[in-house]
Amino acid sequence: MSEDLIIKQVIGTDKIIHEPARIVLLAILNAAEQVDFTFLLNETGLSQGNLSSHLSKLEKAGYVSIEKTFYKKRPRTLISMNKKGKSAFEEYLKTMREFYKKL
Amino acid sequence: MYKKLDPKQIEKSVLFLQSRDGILDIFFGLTLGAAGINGMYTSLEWNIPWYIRFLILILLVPMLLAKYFITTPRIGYIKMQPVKGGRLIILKIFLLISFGLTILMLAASIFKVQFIHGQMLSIPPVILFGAILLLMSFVAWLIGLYSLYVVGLAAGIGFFLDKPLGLDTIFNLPGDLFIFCIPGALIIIYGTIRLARFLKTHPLQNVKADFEHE
Repeated sequence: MSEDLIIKQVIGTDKIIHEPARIVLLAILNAAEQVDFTFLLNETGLSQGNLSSHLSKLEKAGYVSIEKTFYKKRPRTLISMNKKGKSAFEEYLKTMREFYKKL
Repeated sequence: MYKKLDPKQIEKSVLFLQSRDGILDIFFGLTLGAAGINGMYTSLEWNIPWYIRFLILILLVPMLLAKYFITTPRIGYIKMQPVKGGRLIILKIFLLISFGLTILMLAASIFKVQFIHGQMLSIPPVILFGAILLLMSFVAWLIGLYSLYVVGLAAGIGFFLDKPLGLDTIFNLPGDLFIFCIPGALIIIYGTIRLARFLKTHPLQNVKADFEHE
């Protein structure tokens, strides 16, 4: 891939994904099939409000599915990555890896 | 938060989240310790009913309870993808084989099954040390469960304390104390430190937190 093309791709990269907290969230969701809100809270160290905000952005972009259920009479929110989210994340990783190789 | 934004590292960390609590290490240590105490019964000719010596089997119960009451509420819910869970399957098989071999050695020792017991005693300790260290290191490298390096090293140290250094003869104590009990104690200490760290970094307060739509 030419350097010009790589630079253009990096500049035009998905801004929804290209944010440290959301990269970590998607990396976790890429490894697991489904997790709950508590799990993400513990893993990322983000505050409840901050995490909710990032998940809302990812949900609006159609990258994750958020499902509210109950477990042992307590509310539990389950999060999983969609196919759209997986392909967008793979594309993002591919672009960034190409870019970092050239540095 | 993760210090490195490396998705591969994050994946590995997620896969072995369950091992961060140190409970598995404590279980390994207790198993080794129980095997050592059992061996000492034979060496010191203590008259203990055989079924008491099978109490090692109940070690699984506190471990599972600890996972249920301590780990799972703190970590939260996670369902692994089948493909990425391949490493977990290897770990489960490894644990099953380890536990099975321990039971076999225990039964051979209690019921003095000469063929197995004799075979075990005839293997030079250095060979056993090398084999254990290599096996544990290989599994640790293969599945990325690095605490197994510590388990393998501690188990191997026990053999060196016994035969090559000859501490059992010097102090006139059963060899099982050095081969099993001391490494078991070291691994329990290591697991306890990890458990303490885990309890500090994963407080229960997050359990009630939930997602709020913007």
